[in-house]
Amino acid sequence: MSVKYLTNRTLFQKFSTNLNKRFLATVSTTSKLEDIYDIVIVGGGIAGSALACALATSNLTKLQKRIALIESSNTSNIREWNPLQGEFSNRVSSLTPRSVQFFKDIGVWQNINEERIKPFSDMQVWDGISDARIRYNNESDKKGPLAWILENYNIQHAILKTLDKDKSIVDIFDNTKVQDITFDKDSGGGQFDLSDWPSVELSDGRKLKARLLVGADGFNSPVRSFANIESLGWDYNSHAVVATLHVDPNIENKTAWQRFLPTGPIAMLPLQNGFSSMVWSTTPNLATKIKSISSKDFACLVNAAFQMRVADLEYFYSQLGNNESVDLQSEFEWRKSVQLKNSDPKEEFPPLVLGVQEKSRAGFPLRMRNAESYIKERVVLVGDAAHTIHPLAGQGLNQGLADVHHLLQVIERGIANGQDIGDINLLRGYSSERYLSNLVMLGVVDKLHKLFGTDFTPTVLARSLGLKTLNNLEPVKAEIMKYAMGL
Amino acid sequence: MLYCLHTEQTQSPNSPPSPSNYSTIDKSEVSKFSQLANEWWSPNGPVKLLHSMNPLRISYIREQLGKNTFGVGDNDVKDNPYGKASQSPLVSHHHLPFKGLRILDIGCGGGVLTEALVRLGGSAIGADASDENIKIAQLHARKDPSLHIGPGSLEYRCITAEKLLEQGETFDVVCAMEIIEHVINPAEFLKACAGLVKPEGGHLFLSTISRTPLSYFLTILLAENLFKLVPQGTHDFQKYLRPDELQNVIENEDKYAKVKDITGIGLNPITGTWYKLPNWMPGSSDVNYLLTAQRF
Repeated sequence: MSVKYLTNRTLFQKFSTNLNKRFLATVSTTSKLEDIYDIVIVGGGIAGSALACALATSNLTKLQKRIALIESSNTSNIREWNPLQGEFSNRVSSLTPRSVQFFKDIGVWQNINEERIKPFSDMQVWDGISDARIRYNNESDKKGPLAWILENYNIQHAILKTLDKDKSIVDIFDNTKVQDITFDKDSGGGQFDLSDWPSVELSDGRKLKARLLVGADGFNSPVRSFANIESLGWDYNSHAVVATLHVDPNIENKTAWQRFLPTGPIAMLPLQNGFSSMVWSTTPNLATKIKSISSKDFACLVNAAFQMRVADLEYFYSQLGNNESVDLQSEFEWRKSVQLKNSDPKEEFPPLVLGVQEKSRAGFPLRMRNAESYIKERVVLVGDAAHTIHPLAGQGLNQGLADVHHLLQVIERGIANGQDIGDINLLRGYSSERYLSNLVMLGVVDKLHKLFGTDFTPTVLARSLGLKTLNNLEPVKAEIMKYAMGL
Repeated sequence: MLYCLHTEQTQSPNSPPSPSNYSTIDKSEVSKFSQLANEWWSPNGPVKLLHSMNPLRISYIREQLGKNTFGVGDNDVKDNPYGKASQSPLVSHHHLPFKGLRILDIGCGGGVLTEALVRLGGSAIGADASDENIKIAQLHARKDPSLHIGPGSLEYRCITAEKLLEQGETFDVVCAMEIIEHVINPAEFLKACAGLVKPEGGHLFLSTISRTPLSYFLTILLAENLFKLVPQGTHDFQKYLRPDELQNVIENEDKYAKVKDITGIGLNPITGTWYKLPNWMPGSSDVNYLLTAQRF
């Protein structure tokens, strides 16, 4: 018996030694060890690169996990971002206190160009038809600002700077496209069987094996298509026009303004005294005109959109593209003087728009989408790849950052418990945390869009009453703001 | 490998148990789990409850080892996301808490626990009486290169606790999770497990199901018969052991290990995750529980 056993044991040892040798040999031929990654992030936008940064900061991931970030565009212009004073990019974001805290935690906030951030504590939102208004001001509150407005470039630049501090942690493949994502059914007969690991083929010919593949690749996410996850939702029949506005520099620019017009909301966000950023959601037809009219007419039109009655504004719309037969500026001044006589003189408006930064006008279609699922075995979606929201509440990027934050926590928990971080049982923790929360936010914003997108009188009366009542219910208002601030 | 199984099968069922071939393994139990083996790693398969329990088992082992500080924690850094002060700096946040520990996972099945132990730096040996389970575990281990490139190490053996003891093997940590309720002679099995633990500080971790009306209701009537969360016939109520029975065997019959902790755990049926139940809760260890014992 004991002799028999000894033979058995020797056989076993021999077997395992052979296994180890064979294993190393095969690895070097089929999938190279250096191309095996724990986390491959596709998409170097804010969500994707913030995730890379968070993983590079976390003590649980930075030491032993191999991380790759793939971005199709060249990041050198973001790395060398050197903005001129008095010029602002038209793509800005509003970061909630929660997002700012996250950026502080992962070491990004200290690399933000401070001169180009605008925290605001005052917000006014009103109904274009009834003028019912809700105002929120927490200047005296020690919770700090409601949100921070900053250029997307500023955020991306800071993230890359943070990532570049320790280049050894994250392998950044920029200027590199993802050609294909597949499963290598041929496990090679070697010691490793990576047939259920996504294999990401890059434009430089390399093939990365991903224990966990993160789709941070935006609205048309190739990762989502690879995982065969449907995206549910609809397109709004509207476009957003963004622009950098030159506003009256003598007025302290510290309020975020939003007016709900029947065609969609128009918002003006403070950047600095004399400069604001505009997001105007409107019909595709009007959006085209708004983008193409002269900058002088554009300034008048934006002023009209914030200050004129809807009927007057419609007259302005009708004059667009009419070979400029009407001087919009004198029209605005005349109508404003008439309007002043029969309205509340205390009514506040945003600073007057004086002009628009050259080439800053741009437009994009508005949509609502939510992926039917955020996870599959070894695949997870974050940011716009998972959900797309109407920009009226400035929540899109903040949702994406909350995704990243939770995914980081779930990955850390998995590592602490010795789990395979591509395991769907682990990823369910991320999905159950984020799916409902994003869905609620999508729903609220979609309902707001629909509620204010009508001029049907009973609806207008009801929503105006709602706004006025809400404006006087400080505790309720505070709760709503806390939700919007991500607290 | 087949040879190993062969050794088991050539034992004459009628021959009196001799020290060299006596085994507490129940043959019918072995075949029962071999049927399950193909399903070991399917996320929604019949052992999904074991998968969902695994993170809690690991965090329990970490926590207990951290509390009793044996072999780990000497060179650990204060490790915690973002470098904030950690609440328990020894083990709880380090990414390789089991580094340098020789760990036995007896009744490893498909290797659910064993793999986790290796990922956290342990030198783990997964042992199972079922040859098929060992094969499944070995095949699955090929799917993760990190199990083979260190610092942890992984080895699977088709062997019983009694045989390992005969060979004079010892371990810093012995885990016998959800296995006692499947062996013929739990007292003998426990004695073998305890004997495999290094004297003077080594740890024995057990998890099993208590024998109470509630556990019958939950694990057999509900889990097996009504909701079919686990295949029917997985459990035999008569083999369940109450915590005091286990403690009695370990402390009084063996006289060389001390029970350090008994913690009841429960499944949240909505989230599908397992939680530790507080000790003050009446009947907290009436169903599933974890137990830590330390060798003198």
